[in-house]
Amino acid sequence: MQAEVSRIDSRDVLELRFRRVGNGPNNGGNAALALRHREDSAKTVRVTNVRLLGDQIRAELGDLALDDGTWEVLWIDRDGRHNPVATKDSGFNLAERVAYLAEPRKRELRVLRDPQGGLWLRSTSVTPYAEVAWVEVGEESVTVSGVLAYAPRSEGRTAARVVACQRQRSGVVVAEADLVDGRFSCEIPLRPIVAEHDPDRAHNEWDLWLQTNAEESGLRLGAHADDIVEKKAKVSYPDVLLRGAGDAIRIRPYYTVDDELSLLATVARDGGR
Amino acid sequence: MKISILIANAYGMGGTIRTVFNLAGGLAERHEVEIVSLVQHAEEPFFTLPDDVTLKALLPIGRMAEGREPPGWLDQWRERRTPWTVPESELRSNKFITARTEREMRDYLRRTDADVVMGTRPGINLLLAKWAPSRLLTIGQEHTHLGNHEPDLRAAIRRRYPRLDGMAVLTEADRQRYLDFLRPPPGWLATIPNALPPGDYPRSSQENPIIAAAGRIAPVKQYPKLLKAFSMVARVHPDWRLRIYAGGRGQDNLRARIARMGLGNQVTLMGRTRDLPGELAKASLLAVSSSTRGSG
Repeated sequence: MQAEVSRIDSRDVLELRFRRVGNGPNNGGNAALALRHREDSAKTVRVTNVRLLGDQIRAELGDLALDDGTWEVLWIDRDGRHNPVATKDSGFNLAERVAYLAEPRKRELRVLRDPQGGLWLRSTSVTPYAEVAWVEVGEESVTVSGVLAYAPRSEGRTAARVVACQRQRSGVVVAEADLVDGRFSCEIPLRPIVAEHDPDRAHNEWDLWLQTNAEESGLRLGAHADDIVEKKAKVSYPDVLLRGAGDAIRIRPYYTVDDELSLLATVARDGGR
Repeated sequence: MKISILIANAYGMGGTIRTVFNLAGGLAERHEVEIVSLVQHAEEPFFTLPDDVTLKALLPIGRMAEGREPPGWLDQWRERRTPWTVPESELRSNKFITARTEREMRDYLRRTDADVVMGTRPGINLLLAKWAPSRLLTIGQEHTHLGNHEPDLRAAIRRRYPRLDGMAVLTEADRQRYLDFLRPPPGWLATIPNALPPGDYPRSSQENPIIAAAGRIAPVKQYPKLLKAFSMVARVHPDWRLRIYAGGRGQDNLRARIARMGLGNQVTLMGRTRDLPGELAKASLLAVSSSTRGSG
């Protein structure tokens, strides 16, 4: 059985669409699905809330208890046999991913197509964060913008700030952020980061957090919605050189090994460009 | 029938290697198929060898040659010497064709029990035309196009290719160019597009504002030109992204260029992937900036 479309919507409904009746699960409306954990096949969870609408299946997964990990999607036929569901769909739609971020949640579900064509579901425990959409490097500042992810969103303008924390040191730089309907934008000044630079550390990393009144502990800035992992080696931003009273400091935004956004400050080796 | 396919380096990552593996897999359903790599630089090939296809290498190089007896003075001389059968421009294009690999290939052709031997690039085709014993059926494959070859290579092709028993090109347009160029007998020249193994491939829903490009980092792929072209699109359509699936040396330079051009938000250097069809299906457009595609 091969789906033409396989998606998860923002209410955690798995939607499968098939090309023809003969291709689909047309067994009189008694659609049945199960999920089998890829690492532990003994863990099989039957999906109870499944609706068959013509050549479309809609399975509500929101209330299903699922461990973290990757699950194989199975179709249960009339004889009770569990058959893997295949798909032609990559399962990736950028606009749907961004819409998925808008709901507060503790678990993220994504559909995947394995290289052999099997339909998988990945369940991941998540905490709210700030999804970065754009980074702009200016002459003396870095501007970041994006949306709140998996956190409650307030209508209208809300007080917020981006806090840059110097890793393994005590430096903190705070910049007021614009937060409207869950969308944020903030220009982070770089002069205070130059002033706090510790030349005893070869690399001064500054981790970025978005603080709101509702999220005082801060939401880590990162980019996870676009399906690109290990951005550290894949995404590159320009650097900016700032001269202070001491050394000239080169600063550039970068993604960490966890795809979170930080600033890297280093002493310019040649003292300048 | 036993078919042997000769390729410069079957252990690397590239379009010709992938399509040769695909073709070998298809032929293996009805024939005995062997891929023969002139050199071997890695333990295992990057691409998965198709079922029922064997792979052998004629000459280990780099770390694969470590621990072996060093080549004697004659082989060292051969490694430095260029084979006179292959013109200079082709030798510049492929560093694995040397007098040493020519010698290994000659030895292989002398002792192979294959019925058919196929070459997969001009240098190998020329060596096949020169050294294959008459008991072997020889087929030359072209993975770029005639218009891409420099005058010295075209002259060698005109002189030596007629000694091959047949030839395959990728497109009808290139077949017409070769017909005009070589005036071969009927049936000698065939158009065989790049093969894909049977299977269910993912399909792009064309919903994502993503352009994909894929291929090794090399001047011939013209990624700087692609970036320049995309930068014009990027200004007008900031929601569009370019994902380049490319690995190997040169990544740092390309990444630095992306940053310098201010395209860091929109261009991602994705590295290599083992599921290229799956990644391409996430995009809506495929950009091919290579200067030597078989389609010309």
